[in-house]
Amino acid sequence: MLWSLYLPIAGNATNILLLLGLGGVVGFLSGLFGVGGGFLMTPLLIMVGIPPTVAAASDSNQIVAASTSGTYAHYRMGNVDFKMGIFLLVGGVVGGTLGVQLIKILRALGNADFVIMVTYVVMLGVIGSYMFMESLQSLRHKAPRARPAAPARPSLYARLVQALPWRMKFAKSGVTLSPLLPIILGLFVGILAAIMGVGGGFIMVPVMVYLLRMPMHVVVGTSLFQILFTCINVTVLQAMTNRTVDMELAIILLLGSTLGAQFGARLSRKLKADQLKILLASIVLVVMIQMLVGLIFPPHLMLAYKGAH
Amino acid sequence: MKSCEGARKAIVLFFGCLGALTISAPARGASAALSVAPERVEIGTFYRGCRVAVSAVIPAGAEAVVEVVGRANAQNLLRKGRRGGLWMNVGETEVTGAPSLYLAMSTSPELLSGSALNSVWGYGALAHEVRFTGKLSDQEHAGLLKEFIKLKESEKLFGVFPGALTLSPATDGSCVVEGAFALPSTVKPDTYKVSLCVVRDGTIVDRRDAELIVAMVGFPAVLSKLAWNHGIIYGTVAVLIAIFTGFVMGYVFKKGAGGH
Repeated sequence: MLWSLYLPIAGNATNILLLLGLGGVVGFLSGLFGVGGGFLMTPLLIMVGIPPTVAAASDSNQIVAASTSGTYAHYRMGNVDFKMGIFLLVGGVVGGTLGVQLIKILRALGNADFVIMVTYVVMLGVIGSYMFMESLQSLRHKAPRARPAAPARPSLYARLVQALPWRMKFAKSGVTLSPLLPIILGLFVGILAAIMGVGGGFIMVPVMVYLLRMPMHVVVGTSLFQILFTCINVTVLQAMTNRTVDMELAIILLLGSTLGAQFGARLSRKLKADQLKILLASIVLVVMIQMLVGLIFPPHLMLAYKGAH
Repeated sequence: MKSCEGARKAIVLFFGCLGALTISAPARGASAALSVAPERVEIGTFYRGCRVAVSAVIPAGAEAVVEVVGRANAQNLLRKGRRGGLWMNVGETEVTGAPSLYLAMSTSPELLSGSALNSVWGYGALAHEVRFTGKLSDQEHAGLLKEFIKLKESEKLFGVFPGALTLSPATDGSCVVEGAFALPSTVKPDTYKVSLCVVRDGTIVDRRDAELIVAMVGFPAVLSKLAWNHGIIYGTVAVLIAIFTGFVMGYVFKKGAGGH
């Protein structure tokens, strides 16, 4: 192990090249899809021997770098809707705080882990399947076709959106809607993210695409902008309260991830929106299947350190 | 008369103690021959675990067991179980009395696996010390110890190695017992106790102890101190480094991209 490095907070030694590789791959996906990548990186770090609590906290730290790099790259391309991002962030922060309290109540009742696991699998399954099917249908009908006639009556969701007050124009996203909508949606994503213990990028992206009707390329940049602030908050809080941020680990990961994020952001411009969506949907479904397998088959170890996912 | 008697008693006591010390000194010197090399292990930037050798001279015909034991500390663990057909965390348990490190080696394999003394060393001995608290039945308690050992073995912090010590004849008719254990990269900085028990005819006839010091040094020590003593500064620095690196990388790519 020539490239071995001791990580003082993780309390373990690991291979630098392996960490750089992991950072690169997850950063690439982050730049490509606008997700933080926490739902991929944390389990991978646990697999290479990093304690779960340190893996989750250090991952938040490296996501700060990847999302800074990704947001900057997308900002240069004009793909960040700051106004929308701030409203989503406000909702996300409030939702995250509510979610943490909800988890505390569920833990006291003794069924928090069941709720977390089921929420995870259901969310990943529903989002992944919907995105996959929708993108596949779009890709199959590439040829220009006549737009279907406008429905006689708008959907309930459309009517609700229309009914919300203080409508304003979000020029970058090309939509006009009430700021209450991104705040409310951000709140729900924040609650779910806190329950699942993730940044929430992979839930936020479909929410922006399907419920806020934002163009996919703006979604990626705006999602990264929002993730940046969420992860800054998490990193500082974890360092202050739990002492679980391993700076050495995070620096190696972020060197890989910032590089990967640049390549991801470039490729995202070359790919069509439906191609991006179907790729993200495939990854989400693979993670969901992996989690489902973990729930169905007996684990190798029947005890785990507290703080594990 | 009384004071004279008192002085006499004091002199007898003084010389008695002196005599006891002079008699016990060579005996301790002979029995303290448990060698641990290195005696101090430093966890620096490139530490990835190391091998520690132990050796001692024991009487011919005797067998030996070496244990490396860490301080006992309480730990909170999550128990996994099946609920509604799905495997998940079903409760918590607190483990007390379990050492942070437990490695045992013996000359004869039977000493750690089949002998009547196997409750003195090895996992049999741990069963007397380790306690699990929480909502548990007796059956669950026994099963948890097995699972706890599996968890620690997966981190290489627990290990029992029957027959891993070698015996070779020394020049004075006694025997040299030697062995080596792998100190894992997950070991925590602390002082660990290395013990050697000399066994003859199924009875422990001698016991010798030594210390193994594991200390964190250099950059890992600086970083660890900063994280534990100044959490807010540590967290802020970590975030600033991440933002700076993200921007630098973005800027480098902007320049390299040629207006892409």
